[in-house]
Amino acid sequence: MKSFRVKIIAVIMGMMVLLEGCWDMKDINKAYLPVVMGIGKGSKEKYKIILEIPDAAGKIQFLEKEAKSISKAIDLIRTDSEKSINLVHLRLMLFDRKVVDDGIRDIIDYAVRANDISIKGMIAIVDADFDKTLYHVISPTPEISTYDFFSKEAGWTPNQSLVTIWEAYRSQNSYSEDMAVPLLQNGERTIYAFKGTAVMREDRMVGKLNREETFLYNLFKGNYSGGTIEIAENTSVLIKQSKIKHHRHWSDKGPSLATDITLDVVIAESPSGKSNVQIEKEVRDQLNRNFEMTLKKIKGYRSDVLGIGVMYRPQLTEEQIKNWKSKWFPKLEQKINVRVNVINEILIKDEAHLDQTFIR
Amino acid sequence: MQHFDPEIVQSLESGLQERFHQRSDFLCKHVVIAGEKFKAYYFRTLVNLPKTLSILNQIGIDRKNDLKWNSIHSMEVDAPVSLNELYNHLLRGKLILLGQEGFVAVIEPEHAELSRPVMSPNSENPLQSAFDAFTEDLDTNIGLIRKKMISDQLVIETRSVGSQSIKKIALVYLKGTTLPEVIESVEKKLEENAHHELTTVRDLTQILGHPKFTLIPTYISSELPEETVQNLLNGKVVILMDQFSFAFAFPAIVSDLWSTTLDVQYPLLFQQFLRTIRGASLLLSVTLPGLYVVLNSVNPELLRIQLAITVAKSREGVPYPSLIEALLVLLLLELIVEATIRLPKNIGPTITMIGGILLGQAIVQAKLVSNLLIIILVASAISNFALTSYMNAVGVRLYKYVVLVVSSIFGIWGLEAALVWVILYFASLTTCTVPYLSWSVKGKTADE
Repeated sequence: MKSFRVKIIAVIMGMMVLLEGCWDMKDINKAYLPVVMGIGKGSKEKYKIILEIPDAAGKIQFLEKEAKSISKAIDLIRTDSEKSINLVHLRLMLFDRKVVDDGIRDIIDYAVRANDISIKGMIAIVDADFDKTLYHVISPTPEISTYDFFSKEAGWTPNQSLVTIWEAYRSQNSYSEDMAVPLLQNGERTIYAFKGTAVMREDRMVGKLNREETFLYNLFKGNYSGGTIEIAENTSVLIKQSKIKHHRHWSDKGPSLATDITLDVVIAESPSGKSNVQIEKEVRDQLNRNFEMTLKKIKGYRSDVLGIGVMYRPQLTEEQIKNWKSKWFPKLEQKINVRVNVINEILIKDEAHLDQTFIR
Repeated sequence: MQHFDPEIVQSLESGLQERFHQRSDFLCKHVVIAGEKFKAYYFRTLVNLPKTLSILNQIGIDRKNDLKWNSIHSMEVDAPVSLNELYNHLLRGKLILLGQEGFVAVIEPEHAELSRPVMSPNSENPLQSAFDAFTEDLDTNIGLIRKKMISDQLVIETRSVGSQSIKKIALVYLKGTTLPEVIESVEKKLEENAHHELTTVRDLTQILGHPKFTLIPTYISSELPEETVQNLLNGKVVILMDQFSFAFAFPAIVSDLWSTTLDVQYPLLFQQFLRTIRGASLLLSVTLPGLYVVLNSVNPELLRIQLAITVAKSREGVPYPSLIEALLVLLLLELIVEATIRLPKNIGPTITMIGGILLGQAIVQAKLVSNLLIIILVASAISNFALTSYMNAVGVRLYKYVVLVVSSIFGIWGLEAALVWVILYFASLTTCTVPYLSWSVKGKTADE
């Protein structure tokens, strides 16, 4: 009985080793770890795939192939390269503008379906010469600046939009939300330059937001850390904290949304003699004005990039959710009310006679 | 002192001589005490005869130079009943006096100097505590504990175990603090297996009915009476073995992996800090080698890209897969550890130098292994020895290989599964009626 048990255990252990599927694991130094994948239109085939592989010395290796599908192209790259290709560290997928015009649904689906691509990776659209942007190398190259460009710990600012693969997948399959994808081009002294934000409806690009509009988009979404608002006459304030409160209403005419945004700001630069109250008022007016224009523009694209539909979802019937983008979103009445609060209020001797400096 | 028929005495004598005639240190001498002639039977190696005789002469003579039987009585052990008992008394170092008129007396003599004095510990380095350590002599050890702990609740039961060779052991516990069922289970096992031979610590655990294969020791051994006293206060049963300079506290529980009883000598915050460090070192020493293999071959996506590139660089040119590489260096590490433990103290550092510096440096330069692996394995080895006792460290050292193999097969999932498995294993252990995963073995009952 005991020997039988030992045999069974031996067999199970043997199977475990042979059948668990890890016998073909490759060590980390036997595989290339690309960080950026460029997906462009091939000259002969449907796709042209460019992989950027950083190494410890700070150089970037480029591998390129054309094929009818992305995985086939990667397979071709793998065939020619001396190491295996492991996509687990892929952090950025760059789409050629021409590819985007055909729709990116299939590519996003592929990225989500592929087991080795992390869905936390970013996507961006190249709104310039695709090859030039991809092969653009600044010297001396920090090994992974392509990744740091979008990293909130490194080079990201609220002027840039940001979308991950999973967010893109969610948005393109959602009834109540659309995505905004950053537009890039090669920089002159930097590796990329941010050109604006592509407003997508489903998987097609329908419009573009510039840098200032992108900032407002981020502010509305709650990504504000370190954002600077510039008002005319060398005055600028830095956002320290923002609170956003949405008030939803649904009447017979359709949805209406009033959003209160309260900003705690510190004054970064201001000409002498300008009071805090004045600055607060200027910031408030400017933001309210810009928000109104941006909202109008977004509504004109008929794309719900701000994700307003999601806020209404709990109140809607399934039928209404399905019709959100076509029927209800165009009817949306949206109002944004910005309140500004300067938190670095200092009483300076010269201004002491101005009552309004510190009375609020 | 007993009177026997001269015939019986004769048969006793011949019996003794027959039994011990091949033992060259067994002697029969004619001695004179206070003018009376006696035959003394004893082991030369155990009894200091001249000293014993002089004491006997000193106390055994009254003014008239006659033998004072009462005084000798005070040195007697107890009356022998049978030949077998006489044998045992002799083997335990007693002196047997046979008088002319059929007197038989078993005398507690002066012993030959065979025990070392109480010294400072050799295998432990206490920082802030008493520095005396147990010796080989059971009575000395019991005395040390008695001296350290003045309490009428301290129970000391002395027993003999074994049939061929007899070993004296002492069962020590604190009444009211130790759980009654623990005492009961230990006593029951000792009773049941009283004829079991007891020469090693493993024999002792077998007598107590502990499982044969355990990953962690089911006892805490200590050389320090101070620590033993703390163990007693913590509700453990302590067993002292004669001719063994360690005290064994039963049962061991999980917190003994990271806490030593000497921690209580430090301020509370320091104690918590030290225990946290040891807990972390336990985790590190078990997981680090496995983690290396996981990150290197199975789940490289867990590394940050910056690190992944550096790791890949450090492995460039290494010919073996990471599992083989890790096993190779681990083997070398174990060899160094094993080699240094038994070496004389003045050669040890040399080996450390050769093994650690020369070999470690050379093996990396020869590109046989990556330098990251050396860092990881050395970190694992160091954290292994940060654990409380060498015995615990060996178990952890062993389990590291299980983690390594499983994680090389199943990746990060395997690593987690191996950790879960060891917890399940701990949960399955019960020694002396106490589950291994309990926080304390202290009895809740009040002191009556």
